[in-house]
Amino acid sequence: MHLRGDDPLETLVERARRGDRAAWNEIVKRFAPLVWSISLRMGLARPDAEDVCQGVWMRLVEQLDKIRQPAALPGWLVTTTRHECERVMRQARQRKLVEHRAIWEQELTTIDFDPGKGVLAAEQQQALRMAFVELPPACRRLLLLLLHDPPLPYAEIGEKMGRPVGSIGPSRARCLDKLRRHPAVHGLIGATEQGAGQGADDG
Amino acid sequence: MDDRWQDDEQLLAALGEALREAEAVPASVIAFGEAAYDWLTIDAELAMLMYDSAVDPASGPTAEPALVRAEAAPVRALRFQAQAAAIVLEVTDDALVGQILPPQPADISLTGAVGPGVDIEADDLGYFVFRPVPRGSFRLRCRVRSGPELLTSWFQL
Repeated sequence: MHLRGDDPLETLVERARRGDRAAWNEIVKRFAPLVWSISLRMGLARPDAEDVCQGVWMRLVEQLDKIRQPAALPGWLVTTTRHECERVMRQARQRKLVEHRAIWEQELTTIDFDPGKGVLAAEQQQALRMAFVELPPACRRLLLLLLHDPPLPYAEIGEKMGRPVGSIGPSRARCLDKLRRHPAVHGLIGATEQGAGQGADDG
Repeated sequence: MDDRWQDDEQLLAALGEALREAEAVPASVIAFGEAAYDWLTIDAELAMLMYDSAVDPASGPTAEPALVRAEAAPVRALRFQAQAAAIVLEVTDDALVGQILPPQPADISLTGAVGPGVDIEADDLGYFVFRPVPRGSFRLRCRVRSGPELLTSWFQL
């Protein structure tokens, strides 16, 4: 699993603003799954989803100076991704209108997915990843071992962690509780509603 | 918070799913995101998309004369506005036609997020033509003789 973690989002945004490419790349790595999964969940085909991702990162580069609260970044990304998706979908329909009017009309009547639901799931997953990367390294390591596929016996996990087997169960509970208490996860519902309303939109 | 996450088993499973989702992002998508940072260092005035007929066909900008007479299908038209200049674009059957306003010569680059761009010159009246119509996501960079370089926001054709 390549989520490296450690650096809080505030630091990354500040460093990226000052020209630190590594910090920018880390921001991209952390949030690309959010942008990508929303695009797919909104019902876009892969090439269109790639267009959306390009558009979202371009906009973020443009807005980097204006982000006053890095904590609002996930909400901004959700809103911007949704807008980009809607724009790309409109344009895809427009292209089809010119090329095959009949097909377009047929498609218009068969749209029946609920993008809102998928976006919420994508936000929930992003919240878990954000909380995860900010856990202490030992917690991250333990949770990854617990998620190993196929599952590892506690004895082996204890060995890899250099800790007695008896401590794995309690550590697991403690680390999961930290995950649960992280503001991104703990305040998820409120944050989601706020993010949807507050997201900056430059076009 | 999702109520199911009060349960350790369910929370751990949800975390596993969230981490797997991150693994499923194509490398090309990460590369686009990383490449976007190149634009941070370009010192240009941003010309924002103010009008797009594909988005808002009803309220077209009537102040500017049409670059190309629309005979049959409605022409896709876009307008980007910076402080001192504007760029208007129209998509015809076989070309992307544009003009810099106020009219002036310029070097124009049409650039996608990755890959090399296409460079052309705008004539003395600021007209430029890309033929055939490029497809995909682009932005235009216009180096005018006087005044700051212009960079349009991102748009799709």
